[in-house]
Amino acid sequence: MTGQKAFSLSSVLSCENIIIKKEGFKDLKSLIDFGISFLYPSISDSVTINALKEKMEKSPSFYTVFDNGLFIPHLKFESLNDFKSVLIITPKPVKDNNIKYDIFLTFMLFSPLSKSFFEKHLNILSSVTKAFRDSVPQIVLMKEPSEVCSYIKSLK
Amino acid sequence: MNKKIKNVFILSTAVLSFISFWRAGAIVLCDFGSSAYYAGGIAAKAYGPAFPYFILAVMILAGLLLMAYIESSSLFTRGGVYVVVRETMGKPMAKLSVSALVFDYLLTAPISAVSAGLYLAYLLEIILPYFKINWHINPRFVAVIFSLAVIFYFWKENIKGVKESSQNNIRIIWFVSFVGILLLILSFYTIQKKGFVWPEFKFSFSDESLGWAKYVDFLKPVGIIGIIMAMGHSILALSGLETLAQVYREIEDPKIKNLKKAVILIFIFGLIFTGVLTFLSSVIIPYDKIISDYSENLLSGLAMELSVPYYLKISMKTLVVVSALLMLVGAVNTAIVGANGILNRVAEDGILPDSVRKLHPKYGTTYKVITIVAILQSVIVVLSKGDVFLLGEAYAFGVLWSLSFNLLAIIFLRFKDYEHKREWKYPFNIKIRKYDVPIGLILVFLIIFSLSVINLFTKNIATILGISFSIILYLVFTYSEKKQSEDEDIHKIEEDVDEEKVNISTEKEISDMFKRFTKPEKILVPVRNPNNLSHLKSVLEKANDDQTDIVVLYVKVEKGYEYALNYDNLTNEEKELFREIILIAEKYGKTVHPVIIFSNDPVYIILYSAIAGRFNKIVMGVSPSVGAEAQLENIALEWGMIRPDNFNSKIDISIIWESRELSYKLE
Repeated sequence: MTGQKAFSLSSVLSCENIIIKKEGFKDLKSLIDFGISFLYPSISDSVTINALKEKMEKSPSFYTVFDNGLFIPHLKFESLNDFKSVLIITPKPVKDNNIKYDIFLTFMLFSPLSKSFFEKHLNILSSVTKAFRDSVPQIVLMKEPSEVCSYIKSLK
Repeated sequence: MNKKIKNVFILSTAVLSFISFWRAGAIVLCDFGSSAYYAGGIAAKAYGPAFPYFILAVMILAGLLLMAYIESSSLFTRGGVYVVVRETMGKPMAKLSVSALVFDYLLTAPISAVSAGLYLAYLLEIILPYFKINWHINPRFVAVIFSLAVIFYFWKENIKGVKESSQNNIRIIWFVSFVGILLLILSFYTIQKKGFVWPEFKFSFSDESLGWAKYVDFLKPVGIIGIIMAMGHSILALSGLETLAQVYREIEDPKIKNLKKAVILIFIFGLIFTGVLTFLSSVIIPYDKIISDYSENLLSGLAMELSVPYYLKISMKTLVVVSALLMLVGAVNTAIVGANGILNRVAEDGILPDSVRKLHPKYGTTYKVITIVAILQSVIVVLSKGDVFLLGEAYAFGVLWSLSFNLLAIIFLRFKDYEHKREWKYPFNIKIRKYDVPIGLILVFLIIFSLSVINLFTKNIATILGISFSIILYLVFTYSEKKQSEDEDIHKIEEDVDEEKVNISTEKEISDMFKRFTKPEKILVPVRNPNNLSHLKSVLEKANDDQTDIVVLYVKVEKGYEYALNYDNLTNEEKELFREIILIAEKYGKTVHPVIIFSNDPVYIILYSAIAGRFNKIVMGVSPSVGAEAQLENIALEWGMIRPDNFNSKIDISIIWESRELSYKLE
């Protein structure tokens, strides 16, 4: 694998997939359920939504939340031939006993399982953390998804 | 992100460095080469004018034996008689072989120190009158006092753990070579003036040198028996070869190639310095004069019999004595270090009680072992009363039997471990079915074994002392081993791991630590599990030691803000990890820099170190709990968090496991 090329986050995250949930979620499970339900229609995989939720919870770094409140759950699917993502902003942070830090920003990513997409999958992951590493407090204050979308489009 | 830097505490480094074949050769020669000063005189007194031929023959035999060490070293990076025999023939035989080797070391110090004292005494005898000091010098008394002082000095130094510098060994060998070359030139000049006569090939065995053989009808000192007896009396010139096995671990890459160069160096030096100079001594000095005047300081005698003005003779004699003191005194230290090392090795195997291995409270050395060795050596010096011939008589037992065991073990390994690909094989082998039958090795073994057997008859003192000592030591080992296994605490869940002697220094900042790495390529190798180091081996196989700094990073996960560095805070598994790293580096002969960083975020530290140290590459092993892909995902996520905005380089990151590799480029 050769590594990153110039990569734009807006190429994998459409503005329609940016959601601000002012009321937040009662726990981590609810957050995940919401994200999966949102992205599920885009997957033509035969797996059921519950199986998907279970798979997500079992993924290796599921409970990893960064200290800036960023959470990036991700899965890979055979049936996918492109990347699907949703950005969920929770001004009222999600708290859970299983996680060390409160979640303010969730970027859920579904990637194609194929080896040829793995490098881009990694590029997306690093771009997400880079894009949001210092801007979580700023994004959390935005009122409309369009504001967030403009911000993301402005990122290099 | 910056909060994580505050959580990173102390860094410590242990630097591994490897030595060139020159240094390795010099270390061995400071032991092996020292026999040049006494072997000839002892042999001359033992069996007559034919001695120079046999000293030369022994030096040629040394070449054949050195080759055997190449094969055994290719199998065991940390080898030596004990390891090779233990792996092949089991612990009981290994214990016996070690007993013989320890006996060798116990006698090396006295014979070297006494010989040095004699050289000094005979020089003082000539020089002191010039200063109007008319003391009656009793050379043997001087030799005893000198020897005790030298043993005491090195006992103290070894208790303190002052490491012998290989740089000193090189300087000594250079100086001794200079003296040797001068002696050669002046000897050839003398021969040209006086004429050359071949030394008489005649045996004249003394009663002492025949030992019990004089009561055995078929052991008459004539023909082949006479030759074997004479060789047996000359074999003390071989002492010091075992040092090669001990020094192999420190030789730089390519290891076997450099070992061969060291062997050639040692062989040529031994042949010329011991063999040729002894031969020239016998050509220039009449045999009767050797016996009456120079048997205890043959090379000084050579200096005094040169056809040069008297002042030059005295100057040469002084140079010879200085070189003798340097070499022989160095051999005393090597003997103490060697005995300590081999006894520690067997103690690690549980064959000596732990109390013997107790470390000095201040210096951390195995002071009890060192003290016992020094006391025994001193007792031998006193009992010998400075008689180097008595010591020479006792000496060869340990040399011969430890060589015999070693050769036999290497031969056994050809059959027991025939599948193991050897980097180098002793020459002259015949393929029979799946085995490479080592005819060459077997012949050499037969020579050494027959010398060992004949010496049992011709060297009474060596036989009685050697056998008694070996039996006593064997019984001590066996009793200790039995007692150790009985006393073992069944509730103890962690075994003692033999600890590497690492030098630990600390740095307050990661960036300060990495300043010392200046080679064009830098590879960071994170490690965790001592059983998962295939990625480190992969790096060492391909890396160019001159162009690449290899930093092996262990992140010790510690929570909390205050943590004092102490090697004892590491668990046994962590110490085992560092031991494995050092063993692997020794096997490849390439320098690695093990580093410990205390942190609560290993992935962060790996990437932060890579950036701070300007590493080109990170090579990791696979995590069995998450797998290679998930590992790279974690790296990619963390990379986005930590990557500086002004980062304009790239870092290749690879995860290696079995024969697979997964790579990514961080930009």
